[in-house]
Amino acid sequence: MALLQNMYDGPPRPSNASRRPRRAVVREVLTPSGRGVVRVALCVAYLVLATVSVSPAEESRVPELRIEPPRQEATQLAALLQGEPPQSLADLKAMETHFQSLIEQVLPTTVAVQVGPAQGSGVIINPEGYVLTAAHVSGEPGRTAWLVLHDGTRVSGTTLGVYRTLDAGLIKINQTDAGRVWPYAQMGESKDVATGQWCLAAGHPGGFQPNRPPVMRLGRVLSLNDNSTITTDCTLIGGDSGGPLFGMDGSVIGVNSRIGNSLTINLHVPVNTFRDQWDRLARSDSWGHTPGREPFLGVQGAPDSNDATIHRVFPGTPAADAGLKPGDLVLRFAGRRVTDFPTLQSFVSDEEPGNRVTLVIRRDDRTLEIQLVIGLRNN
Amino acid sequence: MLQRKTSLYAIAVCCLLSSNLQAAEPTSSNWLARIRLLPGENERSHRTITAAFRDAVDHAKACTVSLYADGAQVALGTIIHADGYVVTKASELPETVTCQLSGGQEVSTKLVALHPEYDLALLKINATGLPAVQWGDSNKLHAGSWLATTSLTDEPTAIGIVSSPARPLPKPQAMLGVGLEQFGDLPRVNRVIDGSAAATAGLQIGDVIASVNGKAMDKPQTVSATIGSLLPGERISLVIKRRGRSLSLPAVLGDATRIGNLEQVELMESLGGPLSGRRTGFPFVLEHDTVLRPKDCGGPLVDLDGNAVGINIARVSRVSSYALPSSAIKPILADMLAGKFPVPTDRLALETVSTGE
Repeated sequence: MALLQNMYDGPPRPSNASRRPRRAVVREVLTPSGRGVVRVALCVAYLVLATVSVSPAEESRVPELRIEPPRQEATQLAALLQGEPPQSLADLKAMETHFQSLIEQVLPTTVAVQVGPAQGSGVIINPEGYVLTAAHVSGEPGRTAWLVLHDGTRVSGTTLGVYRTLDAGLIKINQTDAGRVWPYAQMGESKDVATGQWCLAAGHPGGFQPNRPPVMRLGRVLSLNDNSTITTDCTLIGGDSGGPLFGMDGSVIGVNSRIGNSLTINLHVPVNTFRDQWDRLARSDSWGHTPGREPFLGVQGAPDSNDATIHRVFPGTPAADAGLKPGDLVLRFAGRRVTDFPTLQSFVSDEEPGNRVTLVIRRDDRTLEIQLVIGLRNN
Repeated sequence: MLQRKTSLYAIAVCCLLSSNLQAAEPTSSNWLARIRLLPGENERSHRTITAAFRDAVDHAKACTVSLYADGAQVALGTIIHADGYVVTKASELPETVTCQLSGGQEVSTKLVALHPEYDLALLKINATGLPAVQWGDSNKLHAGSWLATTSLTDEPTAIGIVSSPARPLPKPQAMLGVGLEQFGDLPRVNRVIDGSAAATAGLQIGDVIASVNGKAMDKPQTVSATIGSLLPGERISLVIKRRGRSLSLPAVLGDATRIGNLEQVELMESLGGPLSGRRTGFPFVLEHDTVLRPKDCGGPLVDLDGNAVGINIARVSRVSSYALPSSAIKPILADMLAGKFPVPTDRLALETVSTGE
């Protein structure tokens, strides 16, 4: 399947790093089913974002976000944060103190994001103002994004790359002051994430509210799925998309993406997805497809032939609707030369369902142009 | 060792985009497919975690009561005075409730004060010499502070953290969802918004609204002003005239900020269990991430020292519950005890319903 070319080919599962014996990772069965982003045209006002002028750069000091547990009882606290059950109020208090100081330090890195009618969240991950978000929040490269910092400051940004398959998006804050340094969080290592460890999700559930700082949710890592998602019981809802999932050292281990039909199904994009795909994201590539939004033509051919001859046309598909027939030889797809069937597959996978494309084909001795609309794969 | 088991059913997922309000598409026709989870030892609410809160709730559990109607719990309550005064969430209460104390004893109750804005009811219960809740200082809480919602037993009902420090809430706007025009000396419906309170109640174009909550209506502005003085989630009674007949229609007011993509919002919210009927309009709230059911509201919310830093007042969304912070309500409770908020003769306007149950 051409689609799989874009699948995340990440590093293997984490080794046994935690103090406790690792348990088998439970894989959840996620059906790739229709869940495209809805951009509903509404007759009501946007959730109002406070319009605040950009404040001048204050100082170039960047908060240090790595949080070390207190030296005293450090081992014990580390074990608790890794998921060892607390035995006493003292254990709970040690955890609480850690949560509070961690939140104080990471809060300024979490931003509200508005791109067109979409409202989500994001997290600044370096002093230059790069912001991780979800692909379904930023949408596509080159759009204007409005970001609201924790203190209500509103700044503009530009959307960069989107990797739709795993829902990873990148935004760059437009530099308004030369040398302005943004508060940022470290990108952590999602390979080291272990089930049972505590984590904090942040974002703007329901959209940004003027007198409400980013909203924190505490939870634990419940499962890791083939490096494509982290599942936690940090509850999420609309508006949280793109917000950070913090590990207990204050680093970003994931980005909020979607929810399932139980309070324990909150899915986050592992941060390694962003690191591994950084170059493509930073140069504004747009690739992959939201699961359930895979493009579809409806033809079959030989993967190993040296031309793109169609062997079979499936009824009720865009190919059949456009009149493609077995034996047709595809020469060009949307202006690009097609050399073999896998090339055709990869060209299809570059499209979004609903796109209108022109095919040039050879049928018998004639060359024909065929118009068709890319369909949606029906799983 | 129990593994967290996920059945082979498909798990439906929703994108968490907030499009204007909160738009996300449910995945497919199988979003209702249920997954079955055995209690997961890695979950935040696993017994190994909640058990550590036993000492924190040790005193407050004795100050917690359960309020029953027709054999089912409708709310929790908080004992605020040794002479048998219990505060709870007003809008969850039917006309008569019985009260169960932490020792198991059941006693009768009488409603003695109401504070509609905070949705608080003060009950006098038929018992004295009770332990009263010890108040903490909600101003000292930070995001990340542990919170326990007590039960009548040794362990809390649920636990969570402060998600966002106490803050004032913008005033919500109730909405019936009709367009009105003048018709003689009465207001007449010329538009019914899909999915609105009016549509759910069965209002039709051409209906004339004669009264709202017993108050006669003479023009569209009177209707707007009356609805505007109420809150989303409130139950109202309408008398309408349709084709020469007079009909009585109950309606539950909607939230003007949430109309438009109601189905999307409700679908997403439905992935987190039932919500409180009255969940807006509180002047001051503490937002926390404890997973509560509507019937768990009304009881104390305590910190690790066992002091009540708030009263749970609403399950608000899939991600949040609201508590009324102790600093805001202590003076109000004093006023209620002093008789400054007597029960109005007509309680109708206070009743609301919880969704999803």
